[in-house]
Amino acid sequence: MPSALEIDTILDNIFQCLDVVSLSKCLCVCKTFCLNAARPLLWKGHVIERWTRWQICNDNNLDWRQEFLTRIVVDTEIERQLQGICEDSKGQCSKISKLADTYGVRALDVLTRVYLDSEKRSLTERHYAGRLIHRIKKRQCLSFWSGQSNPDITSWPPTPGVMNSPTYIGLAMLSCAIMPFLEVDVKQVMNELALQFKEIYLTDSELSEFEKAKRLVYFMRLDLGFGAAKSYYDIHNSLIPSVLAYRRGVPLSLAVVYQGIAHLSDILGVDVMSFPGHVVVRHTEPGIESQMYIDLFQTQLQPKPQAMITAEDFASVDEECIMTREQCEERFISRYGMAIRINPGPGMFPREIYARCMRNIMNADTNTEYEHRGQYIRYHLMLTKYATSLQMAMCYAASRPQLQDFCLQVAEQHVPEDVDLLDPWVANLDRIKHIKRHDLKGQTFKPRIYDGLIDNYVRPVGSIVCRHKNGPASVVIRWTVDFDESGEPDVLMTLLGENMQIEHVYVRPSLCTSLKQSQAVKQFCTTLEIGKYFSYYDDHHGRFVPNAIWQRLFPKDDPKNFETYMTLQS
Amino acid sequence: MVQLLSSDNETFTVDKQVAERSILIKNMLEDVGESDAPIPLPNVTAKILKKVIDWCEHHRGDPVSQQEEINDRKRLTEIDEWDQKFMEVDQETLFEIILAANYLDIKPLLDIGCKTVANMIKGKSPEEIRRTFNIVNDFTPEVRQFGIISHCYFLAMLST
Repeated sequence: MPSALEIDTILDNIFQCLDVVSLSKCLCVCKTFCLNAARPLLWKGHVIERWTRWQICNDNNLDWRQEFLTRIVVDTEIERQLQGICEDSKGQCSKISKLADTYGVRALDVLTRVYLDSEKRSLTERHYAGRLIHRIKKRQCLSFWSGQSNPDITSWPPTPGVMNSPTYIGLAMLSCAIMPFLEVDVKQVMNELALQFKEIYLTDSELSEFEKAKRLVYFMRLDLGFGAAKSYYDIHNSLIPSVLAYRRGVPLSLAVVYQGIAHLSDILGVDVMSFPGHVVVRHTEPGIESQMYIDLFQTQLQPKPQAMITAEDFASVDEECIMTREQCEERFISRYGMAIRINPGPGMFPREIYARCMRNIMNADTNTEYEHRGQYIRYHLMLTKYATSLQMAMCYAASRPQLQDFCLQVAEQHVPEDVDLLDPWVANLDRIKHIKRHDLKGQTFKPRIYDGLIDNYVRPVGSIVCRHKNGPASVVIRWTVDFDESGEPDVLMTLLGENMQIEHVYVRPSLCTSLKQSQAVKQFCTTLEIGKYFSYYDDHHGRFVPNAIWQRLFPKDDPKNFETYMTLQS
Repeated sequence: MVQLLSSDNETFTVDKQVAERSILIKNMLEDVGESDAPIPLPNVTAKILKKVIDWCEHHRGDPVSQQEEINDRKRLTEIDEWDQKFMEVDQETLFEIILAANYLDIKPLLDIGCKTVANMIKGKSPEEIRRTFNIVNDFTPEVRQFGIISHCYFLAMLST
C-alpha cells in the first residue's frame, strides 16, 4: 500500500496536467482528491496563465483557488454585460463607458480573449470587445498624462519630489492608447537592453560621462543595429514597442530610446534637442559643459556580435553620429538644407517630446506606403489619428481647436462612447451639430463637414467627396471654400454632377499648413476619404486615378463621367 | 552492467546507462561506487520492474530532462505513440508503474503515467471519475452539498 505522501505527490502530478474544469470536478470526488485539487499552487498557475494583464497580487497567504473564482465571477459579469451591449442597441454608449470604467484593466484579459477568438465569437462581439479595449487603454493613457508634472515649471531631469516618468514610458503609454493590441512590456525590454549595455561597455569604473554616452551610441548602432526607418510616416516608426522590435525609427523615437537606456544606465546630461524636421541627442559633460551632438538617424546596420566589431566600425560610428555643435549645424545645411543656429538652451521637455511624437503620428495617415489600402486599414488609420488627437487635445488643453473638432466628429460617428470624455468641448459639438442642422434644411442635400483643404497660403483649394446613395460619386478639386465669420463653410454646389442625390459632403480643415498647391493636392489625395475612391494622383496627367475596388463595386459610376471634375485646372 | 533486485527477489541485469535513467539508482551508484552486489529495490515487484526497464531501454538515448521542464505548467497531455502503447495496461499496473517511477525518481516516466491518468479524468463527471477509479465518496453530507454547489457554480460560469 503506498504511503499518504506518495499518493499526494502522484495526485499533485496528475492534477498539474488537468485543465480547470476537470480540476474543479476532482474537487468533488472524495476527500483526498479535494485536498489535493485545492492546493493553492495548482490554482496560482491557472490564475497566472489566464490573466496576464490583470495584475497578480503577491500576497503569500492568498487562497489562489478563491482568487480564481473571484476573477471568474468578474469575467462572467463582463461577458454578460458585453452580451447586453451586443444585443440591445439602446444606451450602448453609456453601457460601454460604464463597463470600461468600472472594470478597467481587470476587463482586458477577458475582452482580449473575445476579440482574438475569430472562430467562436461573432463579429459584433469582437467589435464591441475591441471598442471596450480601446476605451480602457485610452483611459489608462489619459490618467498617465494627468500624473505628469507641467513642463513649464519643471526641468528635466526632474527635481526631487516631482516625479516624471521617463519619456519612453510615456511613449509606450501613447502607443498603448493608439494600438492597444501591440502588447510589449517596454519597461522590461529597456531594462534588458540597459543591462546588456552595462555588461558589455561599462565594465571600467573610471569612465567619464562623455565616454559612456559615446559607448551607448556604439551599443545601439553596432550591437543592436538601431537605425533610420525608411518611411518617416509609418506609424510604427513612432511607436516605441515597434521601434524596439524592429530596431528602427524616426529621429525622435530613436532619441527617446537612447535617452531611456542612458537614464537606466545612470548616464547624466542627456537631452533631446528639437529642430524643425529633425531631432538629435545632446550630451553635456557635467562640470565642464562641453557638449556633443548625436544623430542616430542613420542607415540601419546589420547588428554584429560583440567579437566581430572592429575599430573601423567604431570609427565609422564616430564619423556618422557624433558631432560638435558646429559640425551639427553644418550637417543640417548639407543634409537637410536648413540653416540653424543651435542654442545651448535646455532640451525638450517630456511633454514636448510627447507632442512631437503625436504630431508625427498624425501626419502618418498621409502615408503613401499603403498602396493597396483596404477600407479596413483606412478606417483604422482614421481611428489611430483620432486616438492620437484625443490624447493630444486632452493633455494640451490649449491645443488647436481643429483637434477637438476632429475628435468630436470622429467620436460622434465611430466611437460615441467617448463623447463623454470630450466633455470640455461639448460647446464645440453644438457648433458642429448646428452646421449639420443648417445643411439639412437643404433637404436633398445633407452635406457634412469632413474633408478639405483650407489654407491661407494657397487659396482657394478645396476638395469634396460626395457620397452618392449608391456609393461615392465625385471629387472636386479647386473648390472655393471660405469660412464665414460664424465658422460655417461657404460651399459651392454647382460643380456637382447632375441627377445626383448627395448624401454627404465632407470638408475637413487641414492639419497641414503652407503647402504648395500641387503638394497639397497630392497629400490630400491620400487622405482617408479620398483614398477610398482614388488610389493615387497622377502627376503627369493631373488627375486622380480611381482605384480598382471602386470600379468593381460601382461600375455605373464610370470615372470618365467625372473627369472634368477630377482634372486639376492649372 | 548493473544488477537490480526486485521485491520478490528476481534479479535483472541492465546497462548502467539504462539504469541511470533512475535518479535514485544513479545517486546510489555514485554513493556506493562500483560494486557487483545487486541493488535492492524493495518497493518494486519483478513484473513492474520489467516494464520500467523496458521503458528505460527504449528511452535510453533521450536527453536528460532539464530542470525548467519540470516546472513547465504547459505540459500538454500529448503522449507519443510508443509511450501510449506502453501505458495500455490495466489500472492496477498503471498505478504501480507510476508509484515505481516516483520511487525510482524517473521524472519523464512519472509524467507520462500522470498524463495518462489525467486523460482518463478529463471530460468525466465526479461520479464517473469515482466509478473509473473505484473511489468511495467519503464526503459527509454537508460537505458534499457544499462541494457540489461550488462545483456547479464554477462550471456554469466556465461554460458561458
